[in-house]
Amino acid sequence: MKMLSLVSAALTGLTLICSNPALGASCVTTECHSGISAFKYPHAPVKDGDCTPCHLQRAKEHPVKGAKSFALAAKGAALCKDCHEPMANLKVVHPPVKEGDCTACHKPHGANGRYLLEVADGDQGPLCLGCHDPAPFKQKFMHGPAAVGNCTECHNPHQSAEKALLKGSVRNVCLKCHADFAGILQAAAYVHPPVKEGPCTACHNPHGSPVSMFLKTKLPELCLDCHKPMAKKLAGVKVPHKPVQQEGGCSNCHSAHFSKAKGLLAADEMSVCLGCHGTSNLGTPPLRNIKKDLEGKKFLHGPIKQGSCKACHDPHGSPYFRMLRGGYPREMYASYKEGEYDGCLICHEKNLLRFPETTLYTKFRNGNRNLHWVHVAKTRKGRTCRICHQPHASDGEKLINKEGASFGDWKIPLNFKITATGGGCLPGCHRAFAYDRDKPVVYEK
Amino acid sequence: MKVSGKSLKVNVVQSLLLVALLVTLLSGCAGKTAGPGGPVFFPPAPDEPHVQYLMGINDSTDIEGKPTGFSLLLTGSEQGGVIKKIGKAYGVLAQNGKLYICSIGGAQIITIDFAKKTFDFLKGNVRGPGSLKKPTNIALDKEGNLYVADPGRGDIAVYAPDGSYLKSLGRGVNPEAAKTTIVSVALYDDLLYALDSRGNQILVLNRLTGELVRTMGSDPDGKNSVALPSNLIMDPEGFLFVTNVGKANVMKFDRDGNFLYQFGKSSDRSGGFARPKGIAIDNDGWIYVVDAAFSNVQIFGKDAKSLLGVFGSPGLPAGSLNLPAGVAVSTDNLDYFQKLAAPDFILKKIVYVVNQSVSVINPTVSVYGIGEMKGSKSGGGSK
Repeated sequence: MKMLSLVSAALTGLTLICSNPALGASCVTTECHSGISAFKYPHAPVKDGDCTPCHLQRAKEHPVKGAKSFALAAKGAALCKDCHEPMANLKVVHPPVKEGDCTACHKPHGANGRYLLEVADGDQGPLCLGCHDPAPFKQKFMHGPAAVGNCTECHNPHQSAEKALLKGSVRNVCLKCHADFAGILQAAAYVHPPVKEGPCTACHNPHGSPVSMFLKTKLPELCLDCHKPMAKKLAGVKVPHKPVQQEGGCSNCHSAHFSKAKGLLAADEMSVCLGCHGTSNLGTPPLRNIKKDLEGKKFLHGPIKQGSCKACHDPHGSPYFRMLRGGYPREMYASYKEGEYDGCLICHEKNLLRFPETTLYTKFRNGNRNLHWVHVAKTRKGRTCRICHQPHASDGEKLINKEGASFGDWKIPLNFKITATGGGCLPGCHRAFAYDRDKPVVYEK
Repeated sequence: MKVSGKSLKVNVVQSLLLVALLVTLLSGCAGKTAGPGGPVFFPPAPDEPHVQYLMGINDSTDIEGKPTGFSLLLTGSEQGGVIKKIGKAYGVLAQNGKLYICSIGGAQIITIDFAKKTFDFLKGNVRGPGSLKKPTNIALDKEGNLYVADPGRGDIAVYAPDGSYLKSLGRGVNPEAAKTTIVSVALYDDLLYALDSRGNQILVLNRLTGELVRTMGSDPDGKNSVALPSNLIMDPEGFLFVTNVGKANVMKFDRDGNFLYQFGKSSDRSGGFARPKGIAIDNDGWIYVVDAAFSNVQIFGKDAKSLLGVFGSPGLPAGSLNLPAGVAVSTDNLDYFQKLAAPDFILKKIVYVVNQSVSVINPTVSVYGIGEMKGSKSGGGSK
């Protein structure tokens, strides 16, 4: 009887031992399942030594050679749902989550990375790229989070209401980090519409790209993809503006995101232009230093006075000499023909050079004799505007070329004077002549 | 003769009925303010309207109101009751808030002041040197003097702002021309530009002295010459436009006489002409050209680079033109005419067109409003 009591007490003790969580301690002994307890970040039940939430004993004997005496308590996500919230109820669900394949990413017993992820130093790249195309992540120019494999900085690995499992709208996800940008954007006078309304991914590849600033394609093609009329125009220009063709393309003059200046220029129009055209070493041979031409001058050409270069020059290129907006002869001598002086006559009196006699279109006349016509429309060696006038600035009234037009090594002086009813000149071109609108001067033949 | 009480009563009733009938008949001659089926728009629905026919003017009742039965009994009174008719008209001018109509049928100039609701004949047009015969067109100088081209008289009759006759200009100034017929006039400072339809040229006169300064509009090879010109107008920038029946076009000249360009050709397509007559230019540079053959007005944009619209074409119960001649455009009196416009149609300019063939549906002067519907996205294309 005493013996029976002892056996009964022993069985009760065994039953208690077997049904106790402390049983786990016996699962991860040095002889059995020893590796399970060796993780830096063990699964909570493992840490607690409790295997039974996931594993159920199906056979009395364990271990059994060639057979399994334990089975998982449930399959797939059903196994995890008793402890973890369900994760497949938003619009976009990561396919492994949708399929209930939690272990596609997570190690069930433990891992060397947080969240039971087998990642080293927080670099999720190898884990994610096990499934995802690695090409965008091996580009010359990489977005910071993508470069260091911090995928979950932007993406929710389980589910999201946004496309691509983003943690919010594209714009908000970007501005969450680029907070300084968001601040300036709010205060900007001019904002590029895609920046104002659209996703940043309209222009940028958020992972990486062979193009600087991880743009989707190089400039100007990226811009021209939306700016179709400009694409058409650029295809037809005969005199291109070099910055448009150089690396940086449009961004050489325009700010891609926002600006204080109209046209999203990087600064006011004149400053942008003189940023390049204000030096004496631009191009070979060097282009004129316009800044120097303007400095200290008494008279500025009307558009320049208003800070505009594009009134005369098309900054995107044009079919005309010097990227002008209308025709103007390249040569020093060119007789007037309709259309050939439109570069000037778009603004200036369009009938200026049409009629030998006029009382209307110019004050540069002797009586009614149109002296502009005499100079420019003459059939042999018509004088172009530049011989007498400076296009940008001058110390002479009417932008008269006080220093004289360049004629090889010589500067042809004009010695032009204005009177109340006319004027006169003693240029290097001909003898001294005077003119008078009211009392026409009679010239010796 | 003894008249019974009953007989007297019948006579009074008969008289009143007669007066009422007379009033009814005469009121039937007054201008109509809209078509029988509601507002008449050009272009018609479903297109967005830009022009609305507003009213017709045939006589003084359209401006001063219908005479009362009592005033009609006072025939000949200066205080109203006399219905002044326009008669067959040709030219029209809208300036200084007034409308000047050249009546060739009535040998008269009618001045309409919409603000004051007056309809007056020219004071100096009385027997004697100031008598008009066939006034075709009119111009005003900056002092308000009237210059009336009158081919019947063969000159330009000048009247003071109060309508009194001042002088004759242009008669015999051009001995080189076998015959001169001045049909239209325009002014710029002291120069008077007179269109000589028979001489195919423009005479430039000093308006103060009457002296011929020069001629223009005629070149030796005829390429840039006017041909059977009918009307002349000076635009707000001081350029001259001439309608040519002979070339079925419009030619632009500067004041020096230089030919600048032409537009239109003999064609029944949009922008073409058959018999271009009156011409007007507004402050936006829009050019309104009447075609007597097509009975319409075509509106061209500044410098005729585009055709903006057409109105007045035949076939409508109201708002169609019939043998139109002169045209004038103005931004004056918009408030006056806005009351006649459709509720949401906002007027910006008023256009007056003379019909030479007058009928029940074609008044002597058809009045149109250029505008746009409230909230229109097109903006009406006008400033």
